[in-house]
Order: sequence, then C-alpha cells, then structure tokens
Amino acid sequence: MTTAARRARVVDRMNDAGIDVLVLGREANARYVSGADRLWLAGTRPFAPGCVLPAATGEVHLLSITDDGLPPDIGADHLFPISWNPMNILDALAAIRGVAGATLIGVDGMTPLFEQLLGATLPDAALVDAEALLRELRRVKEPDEVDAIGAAVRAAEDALTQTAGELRAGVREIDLKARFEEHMTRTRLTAPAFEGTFCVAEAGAPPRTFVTDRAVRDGDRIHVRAGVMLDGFEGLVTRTLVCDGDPVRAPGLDDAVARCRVGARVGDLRSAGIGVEGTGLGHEELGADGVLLAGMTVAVEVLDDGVLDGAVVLLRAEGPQRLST
Amino acid sequence: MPEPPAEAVDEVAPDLARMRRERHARLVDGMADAGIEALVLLGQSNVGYATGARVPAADQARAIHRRSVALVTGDGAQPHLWTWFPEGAPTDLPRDHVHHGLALDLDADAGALLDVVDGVVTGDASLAVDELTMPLRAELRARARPYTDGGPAIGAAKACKTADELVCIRRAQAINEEAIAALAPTVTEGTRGTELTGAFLRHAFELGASANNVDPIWQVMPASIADGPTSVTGDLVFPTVTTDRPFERGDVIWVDNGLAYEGYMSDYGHTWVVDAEPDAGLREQCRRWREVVDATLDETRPGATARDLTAAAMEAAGGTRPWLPHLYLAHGTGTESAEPPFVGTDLGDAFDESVVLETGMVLVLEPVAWDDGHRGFRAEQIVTVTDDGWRSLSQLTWDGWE
Repeated sequence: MTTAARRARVVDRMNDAGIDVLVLGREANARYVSGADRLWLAGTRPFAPGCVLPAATGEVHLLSITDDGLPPDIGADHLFPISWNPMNILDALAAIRGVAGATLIGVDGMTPLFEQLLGATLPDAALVDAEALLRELRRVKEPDEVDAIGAAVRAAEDALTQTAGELRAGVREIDLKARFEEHMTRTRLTAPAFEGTFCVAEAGAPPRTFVTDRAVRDGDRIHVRAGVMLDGFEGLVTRTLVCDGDPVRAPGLDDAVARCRVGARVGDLRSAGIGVEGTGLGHEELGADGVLLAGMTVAVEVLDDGVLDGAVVLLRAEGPQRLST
Repeated sequence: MPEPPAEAVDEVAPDLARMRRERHARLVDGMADAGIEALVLLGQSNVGYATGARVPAADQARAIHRRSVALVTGDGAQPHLWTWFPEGAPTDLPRDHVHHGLALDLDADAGALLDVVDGVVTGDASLAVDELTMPLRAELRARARPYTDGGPAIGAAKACKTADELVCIRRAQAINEEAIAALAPTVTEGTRGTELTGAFLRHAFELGASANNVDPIWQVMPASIADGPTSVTGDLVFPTVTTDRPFERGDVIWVDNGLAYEGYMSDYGHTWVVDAEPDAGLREQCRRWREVVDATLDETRPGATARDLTAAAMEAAGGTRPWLPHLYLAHGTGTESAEPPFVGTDLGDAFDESVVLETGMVLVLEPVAWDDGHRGFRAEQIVTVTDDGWRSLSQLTWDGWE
C-alpha cells in the first residue's frame, strides 16, 4: 500500500468520525500519513503541530524548512517553517486550506499552551483523540508494511550476529551495546528503536535494563533486548547469548508464539507469562483487554528458566507467522 | 579574553544524590512562586529532572509509550514516580513512591494516575501539567479538575545549573570530544556518514556515555544555498539527515551531535574538510566565527541580556546577523539538548532584552560564517555564566585552522 493509499484510508476514517483536520505531533503518526522520515531524536517531545492533514483536501503539510529527504509528493508548498513563536506556527496552521472553520480536530497529544492557542485560533473547534484513531488503523498491517518490518528485524538480527561474534571474556556490557550500535549502522540509514540491553544474567533475578561496565566471563549468559529503526519501521531482537558458547533459545518460545492466535486476549497471554506488545512504526500499544487481530505484528517475549527469548510475529487467520529467526 | 581550559573528562565527578536533592528543592521553589501545589510531569527530561529516574533512550515512537511519569508536590515531600524501568529509579526514592509504568494513551491508566494524585493532594489543590495525552485530558475534564501550565515553574528551576549539573554537562561534552578525536583522523574520501555514525556511537558508549539523543549530523555543505537542498524560507538548510553517500575529497562537512551523561546533553559542532586542509577562504571564515564568539563572550556576565549578546555578535560580523535565521545565536543545554536561555531567535529583539543572564546558566554559542557561493564555517562553544563572566565547558581543537 502506498503512502497515498494509506492516507486515503485515514481520510475515510476521519470522515466517518466527522474529524475535519488531524494535527499530529508524534513522529510515528506523521510517518504513517506522510511517509516522511525526519531527523531521529530520542525521547518524548511536547506536542507541537508537526504534521497537518485536512480531510477536505487529503493533502499532508509538514513542519520543515526543507523537502530534503521527504517523499516527492509533498512539495515545498506543503511545508511550513519552524518558529520559536508558537503563534507563527498557529498562523501557518490556520492558513492551510481546509483548516479554517474546522469544528473537530484530531490531535495525538496536547500541552496547556497549545490547548490555549488552538482554542484562540480555532474557537469553534473541539479536540478529539487522534492517537486512538491512528492506533486502530496502524495496527493492522499491509503486506508492504510486513515486508518493511521483516527487513528491520533482519537488520537487528544481523547487527546482533556481528556483535555476538565479538563476545568473549573481558568484554564489558557497555562494549556490547557499543558494538551493536556500530554494526546497526551498516544497514543503510539505521537508528536504534531503543538503546539496547546487553546484561549478564543473574540466577533468579529479573533481566536488567541498563548496561554497566561489568566484564563478561566465560559461561556467562547475556540477556539481549535490542532494536533498530529502518525506513521508519521497528525491528526488534530478543535473545540470550552465552560467552564461550552458542546462543541458547527458550524452549517455551515456540509454544508462546503458537498461542498468539487471532482472537486471543492480550491480558490472558500476559497472565500466562508471555510478553506481547504491538510493533510496527515503533511501539504500538496493546491494552490488556485488547484482542489479537489478523494482520497485527507483535513482539512476543518469554523468560524461560533464565533464558530470555523473543520473536516478532505476524498474526494471520491460519496461524502466527514468525518474521524473526 | 583568553579561553581558560575546560576540565578533562575524569577530573571531577558529580554527586548525583546531591544533584537530585538540589534540583527537587529548586522545582518546589518554582512551584511555590507559580502557585502550584501538585505538578504532574510526562515529558521525559522533566521527569528525569524531578526524580532522577533513568529510562533507555528510545525512538519517540517507543519513548512516548514507555515514558515515566512524575508527581511533584509543593510540600517538598519526595516525588512519586511511575516507571516501566524500576531499575532506573534512584535508590533514595521511597519504594512506596515508585509505581508500575502507565500507558497514558489508554483510558484506564489515565484514571489510575489521577486516582493516586487525588489520594496525595486534596481535590482543590492547584494542579499543573507539562503535557497531556488525550485520555488524560478527558479524565481531567470528566473529574472537573482544572489545570495550568507547569512549564514556567520547570523553566525557572532548570534555568541555572547546580555545580553537579555543570559537571555532568562537562563530562558529556568531554566524552563527545574524545569520541570525535578518535574518529576525525579516519574521515577520508569514500567514508560514508552512516559509517561515521556507527563509529561515533561505538566510541561514545565505550567511553561511558549514558545515551545518544540525536542521529549524528555530518552534513556535506553546498557552495551556495541555491545548490540545495530546497529551502522554504530561502535560508541555508541545516541540519539534514545523514545519508550513506560517500564523502568526496574537499567536501566541507558541518558536524553536529549530542550525547548524554546522567541525563545531561553535550553539543559538539565543528567544520571538517575531507582529505584536505581548509583553504584560505575557510580559514578566514573560521577567523570571523571566532571573532563573533569572542565578542559575544566579552559581553557574557550576570546581568547582561540576550540582546546585549546579539548586538555584540552583529557588530563583530559587520552588522549582519551571523547565525542561522531559523535557529539562534545561542541556546541553553541541560536535560534538553536545546533549552532556555534562547538568544537571537525569531521571537525578536524585545524578547531577547527580557532574557537576563544569571550565574549558572549555560550557553551553546553556534554562530556561522557563511559566504554564499563559497560555503562557510560553523562550530559550537559551550560556556557557563560565572559571577565574573563565563567559563568554558567545551574544548574545541583548531589543528589546520590557524
């Protein structure tokens, strides 16, 4: 599905919900409707109108000084420049065709300041949750999106294979994270989905998150959670490496994957000790009451007798399909 | 004024427990001044500032769903923290103040957060927030709970750094500079920007960086703005996303990157020439850049305004504004890579006159010397304002430029 077709689907849903304009601050949502892959930044950012989509035109407008790296269907006349004065941004927003007179605006976050300024600029408009609308659309993947997620998973696995090849006694946890980040960049334009865990496992203790300068010893098991972003899609890898030994896989992973069937309730899987999270254009939230649907891609994780292991899985009516090895 | 040397990376170490105590006290003072009795924080740099909680650096698309949340109360009690990464909670935070992570884009968790808030402060306590998810906004409205903007209270607390915060910034910068020093000699014809990114991140993490916060920038500069990339405003486009296109001999590269130590951001900027010494034109631009920085620093002291700094920079540049029009002459750094004070933004001269420097503020000076048709020079220098002027937190090297 092209970005244009995806955008048309978003506009259909906006029309169903009576939403006149989407004003998006979250990069994953902007990626979904625009195809743009802008400068990678870590962490949260307060809401700002970085991407605007009026239903009346179906045309996307981006906050950017340049069209460098943007999809060709977003012309320079559909960009509005950065400003330190939020009123300039609001004025640029209000001037976009299809925004004036809006009565329902979908936003994916808010700050008290922008809430006040939006109210003053578009006094007839009420705000509704666009994150919920886009979450529902984003979670069911098209074949090309599944391919992109598969490519990202392979990039993460390749980087981990190279990192594992350098694992030997004396290497520190921070060195493993450092090597993974280096190998990750060998696949075109890759940034991390998150800075990974490469932590020596301790018997009976839950897996740690933050690497330390602890040196690895022969026989140590190393819990790995890592991920990359490739073309805007997240590729996750979860494994247990062994210093001076072959990686070990969790015997229970196959069963956990098999239980991720269409119709399964997320909370039931989690209660059974199976980690299940949505993955795609980044993390995609699944509530405990959520039900797995055909076309979803999920990251499945188990901790089985001290072995941390995981898989990225496409849910299909005929059963789950692994996108990872 | 000659530049005093900045400390080397291992010369000093921050006292993190003291840093957390002092930041919390400043935040409580800022809340009192703003009349805020309860402050709910969702922004990760704000939560980190208020509580000291660590989370793994992550793409925004993951970070927003695995964010920590803080509740700070005006009575000065220890803050409450909701986190998906309890290992990152400081050990001096009471265990009954550390709660399981919240998915604030789901209605149930937005309600759960406000249930705790309502148990800690009374229903008529003045409440402020830094940002909202839409379910949290809906829950506040359903409970008829008014709220104000917590931004000014946080900004007041963060404006001036404690001694330990300055140590963290210096240490982040020293790690950055050491990683760059290891990397710079390897840059040659055929090197790809993405390769540099990989090598930079490897060096940085081996040297003890806590996180990387921006995809490192190695932008090959055009000779003139018209050579592209397309600019919406007609101004020079910078920064652009790093590509895997091989560098060519003579390429002029503007380097810009930031990594963190204990939540504090470094900011390294410099100009490189691939496989060649800078020519006379570039060296002249570098000399002009340094004149602008020196003139700006001559005015840098407590009581000076941001307008004093822009005036000094413009005078040194012969009346032009020697910085990128969509950015600034200088910005602060701390738990955000660009935070107040901002100097020379499009908010204008009147705004700059209202920004008064105080001891402990941090400025990242990033003027440019650009001659359209002949490229330009850009670097960044970080200083902190001291009682009698300023002190450098960065240590640029000038091999080949003098």
